[in-house]
Amino acid sequence: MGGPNPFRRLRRTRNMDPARAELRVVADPTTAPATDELMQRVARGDRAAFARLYDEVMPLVYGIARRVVRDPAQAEEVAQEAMIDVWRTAVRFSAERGSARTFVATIAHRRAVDRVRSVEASRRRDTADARLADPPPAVVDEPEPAAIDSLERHQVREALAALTDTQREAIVLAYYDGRTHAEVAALLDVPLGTVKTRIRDGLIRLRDTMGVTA
Amino acid sequence: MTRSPKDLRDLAGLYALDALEPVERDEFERFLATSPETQAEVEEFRRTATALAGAEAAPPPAHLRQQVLEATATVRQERPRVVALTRRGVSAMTVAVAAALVVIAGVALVLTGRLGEANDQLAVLEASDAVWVALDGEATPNLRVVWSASRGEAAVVPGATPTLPEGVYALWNLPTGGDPQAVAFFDGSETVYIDTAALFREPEQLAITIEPSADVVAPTGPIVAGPARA
Repeated sequence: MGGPNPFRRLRRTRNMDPARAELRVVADPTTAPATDELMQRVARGDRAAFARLYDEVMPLVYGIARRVVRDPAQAEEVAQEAMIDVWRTAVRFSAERGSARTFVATIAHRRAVDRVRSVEASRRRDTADARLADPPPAVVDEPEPAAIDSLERHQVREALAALTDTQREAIVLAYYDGRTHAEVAALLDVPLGTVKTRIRDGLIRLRDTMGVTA
Repeated sequence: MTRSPKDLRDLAGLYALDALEPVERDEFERFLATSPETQAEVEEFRRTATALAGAEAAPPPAHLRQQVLEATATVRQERPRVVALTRRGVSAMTVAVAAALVVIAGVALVLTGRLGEANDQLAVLEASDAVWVALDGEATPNLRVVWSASRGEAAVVPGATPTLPEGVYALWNLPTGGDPQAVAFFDGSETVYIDTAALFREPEQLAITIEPSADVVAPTGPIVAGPARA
């Protein structure tokens, strides 16, 4: 077959860079393939597999929901909606493209962000000026008592600490607070392009740092 | 506003963090569909974002488990994407670079679209481990299903123009001791390609029914072809 195959090219690109290949291991070296396998069974309608998947990924789902939406009751709703989405759209999961944990985390974060934006959009616009006067948010939160203390948490804290203050601030506001880049720019009073660059550079640095320490 | 491909690609990080405005997100996703390099970059940034999420992992309230499991009991799962070859890959951006006439099981398919995609899709028909299953029946003369384990893909190849008065054909996998599993819904007018990797490693028995619509979760119509063992 003579034609170009974009997916084959994609795999080759990944294999060329050992540091990046290792990044996959960061997430969870012991359970990642097992979680992928569970996800594939869920895609085939296996309810027992879904119950096991729930046990594996719900701390991740609930944790990010709580971090983004803050309110515990709303975090529960968001986490529940996210898990139902995981069940409903399981067929879209492809182990070749990414891990099951990434598939689930992407769904959960999107759900949390949607919730924050629909609930707070108008309020945020009203109070944006007031917030600008506030001191900048603490960028690396102390672990909450209920949080699961993991190797991953430790690695992420180290990787975040290795960013510049401005990169960390932009990434935390965007990912953990669920702000759009326009909101981040307004909060930090910097141009849109600056936020874009800070987030991009910060993500690349996070990616490389966590890849190296895996 | 129209952005250059380079400008769009630079949004990959913001996209992976869900930090684009809705309009920008839509524009980026249209671009993303055309750029394998950007897809790979988004996937890497998403892995990084997953680590950020993982650092926040917390024990969920215990009562949620039963709630979620009960809620999903009534939620119908999406079915695999079914892509008809002749409808795929043709857009304003795409110049038809190849037109090939391929004769499969007595039916002529004119293939247009990007060569790479056409080749990818044809590969299932030509895979070394391709298994052909003939599903003969009154309403589906000479209809054949070809399936490749190595590629995780299947295709339904109509052998003659079938008559489908109303409704849709449904292809089911019938696992031993399990519920019938919807593999694809199709109208029989053209070859359809199915990504089966998420569905099964190998189908057990295949059968075709005619269903009122593509919404059914279990076969309701009579079997019009099959069952046949793959």
